[in-house]
Amino acid sequence: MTQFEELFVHPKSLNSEITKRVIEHTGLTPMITDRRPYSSLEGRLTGEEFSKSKKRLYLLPHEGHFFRKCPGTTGAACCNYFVLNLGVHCNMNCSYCYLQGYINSPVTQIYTNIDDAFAELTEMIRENPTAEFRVGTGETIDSLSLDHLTLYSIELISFFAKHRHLICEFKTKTDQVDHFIKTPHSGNVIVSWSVNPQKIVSEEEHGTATLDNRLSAARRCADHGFPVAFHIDPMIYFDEWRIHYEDLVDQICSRFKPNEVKWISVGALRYPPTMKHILRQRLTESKRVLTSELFLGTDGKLRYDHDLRNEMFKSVVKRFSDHSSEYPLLLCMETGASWQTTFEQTPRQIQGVKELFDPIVTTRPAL
Amino acid sequence: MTHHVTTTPMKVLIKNAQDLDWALNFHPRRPWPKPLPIVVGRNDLVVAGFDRPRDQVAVSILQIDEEPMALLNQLYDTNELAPLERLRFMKLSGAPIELNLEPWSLEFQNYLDNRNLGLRVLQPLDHLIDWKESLENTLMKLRLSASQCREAIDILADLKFLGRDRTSWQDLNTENPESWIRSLRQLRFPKTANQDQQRQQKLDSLPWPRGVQAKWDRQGDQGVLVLQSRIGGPDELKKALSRLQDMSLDKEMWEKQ
Repeated sequence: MTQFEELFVHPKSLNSEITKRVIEHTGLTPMITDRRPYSSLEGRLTGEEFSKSKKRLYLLPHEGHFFRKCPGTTGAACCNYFVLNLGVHCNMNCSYCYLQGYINSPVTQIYTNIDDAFAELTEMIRENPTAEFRVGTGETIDSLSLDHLTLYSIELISFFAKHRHLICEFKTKTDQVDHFIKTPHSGNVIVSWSVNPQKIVSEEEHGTATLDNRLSAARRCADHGFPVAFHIDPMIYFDEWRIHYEDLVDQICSRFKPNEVKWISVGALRYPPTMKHILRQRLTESKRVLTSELFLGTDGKLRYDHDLRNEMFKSVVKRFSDHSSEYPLLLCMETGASWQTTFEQTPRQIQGVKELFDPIVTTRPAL
Repeated sequence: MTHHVTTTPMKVLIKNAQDLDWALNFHPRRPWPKPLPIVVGRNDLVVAGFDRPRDQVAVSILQIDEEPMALLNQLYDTNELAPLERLRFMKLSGAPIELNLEPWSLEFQNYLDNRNLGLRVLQPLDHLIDWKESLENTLMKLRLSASQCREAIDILADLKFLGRDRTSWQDLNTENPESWIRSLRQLRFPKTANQDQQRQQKLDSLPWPRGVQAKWDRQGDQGVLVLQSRIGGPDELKKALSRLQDMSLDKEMWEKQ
């Protein structure tokens, strides 16, 4: 994982517990500023600046909405996901990371005012008392990779314990679960892992936990009563993809019974064409993500050929069903046509999945 | 009402063009209007009329006693300059620019500017400097449209990252832009191109009703079957539809290699 080399603290965050912990953990001397550091670089970062932005940490209070509806993607079936952004950026380094095309800040940001986020969530719950929101904290930042500094997981678990009809998802590529695992919970905080075959982890997901360590951490969570979930996303095509992804499915199934897994989402590599420039600038040894045969989809993102994607999805779905038909599978950011080809059903026809796709009406803006 | 009256001293003179300083020439695309004199700022730095011959011993100049950069900013509206022309202009003031223009000939830069390609589209050029000569020659010879140019630059950069050699694309048929782009796509997406070709061959082998043509067409991330028909009348239409339905139900025929 990337080590921080510079620490900036907003004056309003100076006395926060997080700031104290960050200083203690990193040993860095904070520079106090109410202006975003390196603001002259804001806009489209170069590859070099993007890499540097992972080494600069800015602790500040967030002033906008914390809680937003996941924008999904044009034409894809929407699974009613909401995101709670407690920071922006990631200290790991996946070659395909969508943040490369999204982040325009030259610093990693952690918001220190989680109480304001809880106040906003409480208001949302008051406005929509029956809505069963699924809220994820891993959209613009890995939910757990900086959690040893924020300890937000513990506060979130405690908050959601009081709101049992809601679901919170921690999404991660780390194995850092031990600091929250003993926190009393209500079974509505799902800890999920983005997983890929170890070959892809080694070659594309730099600084992340190994597949085995992720699955072991998931096992520890399940053993402590936390529901777990997996995201086989993005599936990446390479010559022996089938063997490797089948092996990944076997590894999941050998460690988790279907009833221990809340959902398993499957998606394939995709990114906006504008991200190619930064990919070219930041290219490491593997050129797979940049040089794969990708075509512009109807949502404006580069994707594998529709038939190839479906072949990949079907192979994973089949492998799961060879173990048990009970594993709750769904496709992430895919068209109705892909659902039909893969499952021969639309999401709202599949038991255990359809509830996720029932529309929730809120006034909350999209991300 | 306030009237702004310029008090900057200016005068019209005749000078030897070789005595002027042309260092601020950013090669504007539009020629300076013929009736107007060359404009120079302090230290005889030319700010307008860069396209005038420099070997004339007597040229008419308008000399303005002002900082040349300030004059340039008054004369040229950056919003009206084409993307690469604007970069050349910005470079004069030492502003950081997003693309390395040095390797590319002015003729090529103007070729791209004539297609009004944005900087984002042109950024892959930074990775294509090794192929400069062939790239400039090929693209300019082909007279590509803006969208063809955009696609070609992107594909060529991908080919570079795929480790392909210049010769892989240099010898492609350059008879017309469409076929060249098609060949370039085949180089860039060989697996999909091959698969699409096989599907076309399969379609060609099928007994389509009279007047019906079938084509396998790539539309972004999907390959689609495009049927085109020339039907004489309702009876023929009925027959064709019935035949197409029979074909659609014939699983064995579709699966046969």
